[in-house]
Amino acid sequence: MPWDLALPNPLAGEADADRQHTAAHMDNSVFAGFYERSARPLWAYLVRASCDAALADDLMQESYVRFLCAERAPSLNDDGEVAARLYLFRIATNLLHDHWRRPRAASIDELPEELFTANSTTAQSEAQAELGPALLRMKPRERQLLWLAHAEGYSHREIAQVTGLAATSIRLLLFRARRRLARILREQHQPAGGSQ
Amino acid sequence: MTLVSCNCEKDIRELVERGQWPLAAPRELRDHAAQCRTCADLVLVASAFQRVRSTTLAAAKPVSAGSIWWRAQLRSRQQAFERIQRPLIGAQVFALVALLVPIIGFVAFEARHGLAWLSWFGTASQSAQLHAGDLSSSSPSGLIFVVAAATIALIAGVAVYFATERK
Repeated sequence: MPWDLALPNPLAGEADADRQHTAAHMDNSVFAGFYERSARPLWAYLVRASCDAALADDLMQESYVRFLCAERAPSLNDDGEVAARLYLFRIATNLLHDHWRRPRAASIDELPEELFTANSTTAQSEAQAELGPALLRMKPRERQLLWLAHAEGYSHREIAQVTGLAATSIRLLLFRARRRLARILREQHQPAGGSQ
Repeated sequence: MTLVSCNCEKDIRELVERGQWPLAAPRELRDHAAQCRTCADLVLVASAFQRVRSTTLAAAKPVSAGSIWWRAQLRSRQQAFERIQRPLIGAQVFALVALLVPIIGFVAFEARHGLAWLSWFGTASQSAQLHAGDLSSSSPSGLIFVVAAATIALIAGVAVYFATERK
């Protein structure tokens, strides 16, 4: 039996109407395909921007739920997967910002590094050991911009859509973030006490 | 910090994103990247992100699409339920206002007429002593007050019932 038929239906008329709305821009099978292609990149973005795997799990699920419930979400058939993916990343970015705005017990800079490198293979550890500590020294917004530009390969216009920043300022912000991260990475590669 | 752009950035970025840097890069481009700080930064940062991206994607363990879809359906139904309840709350507020306005009007009316009905208490108590509870000799305004108070209490009770029944 399909799992969605097992749901209770206390408000048949309204729920069906709402269900039709949810299915209007995406049905179950189309969503499954979209999810398969976009879930890992979205999780990677969230975990690198937040440096918190558990938070990334939560925000990823919430992003998809909001995406499915959104009245103005782009349709995969009409608007294409790129637009849908940008919209999804925009939701995730907003959720990240909301999370950072909330008062919390520990600052993001105080998160243990073990959280960042837990459950990883040797290759993963090597890659994360290279970039993880450097990213922790960057501001959250810089991490977001760098990941979207250099890991996801988004253009400045697309990054502006995701982050809500002005497209004209993305170039300068990205340039500054990249230069700062490059300096940190070079410092990491230099032997202790070495000069540049 | 001044923005320093380079014409080779786009070519280098594409090569790095395709995983073809530096092997598939022309020698001039590699020489340029070694000397241009902007391009050197780009190579260093973009290469690191490409390596970390592949390992991070491999580490991701997303939940099933079905469970996300199920949660979205539940959320949609909850929102639909809240949409239905919105007019009910409006009706309750309207009922409360409809109840309060006559009460306030009644109190204002009585206050304007000098609270004459208060004298009924004195009359009634004297009548009770003298005629053993016979209220028929008391003024008609006293009876009106009793009926009005009972009606208000009844309406208020009904309003409270409907207001709490939803919860």
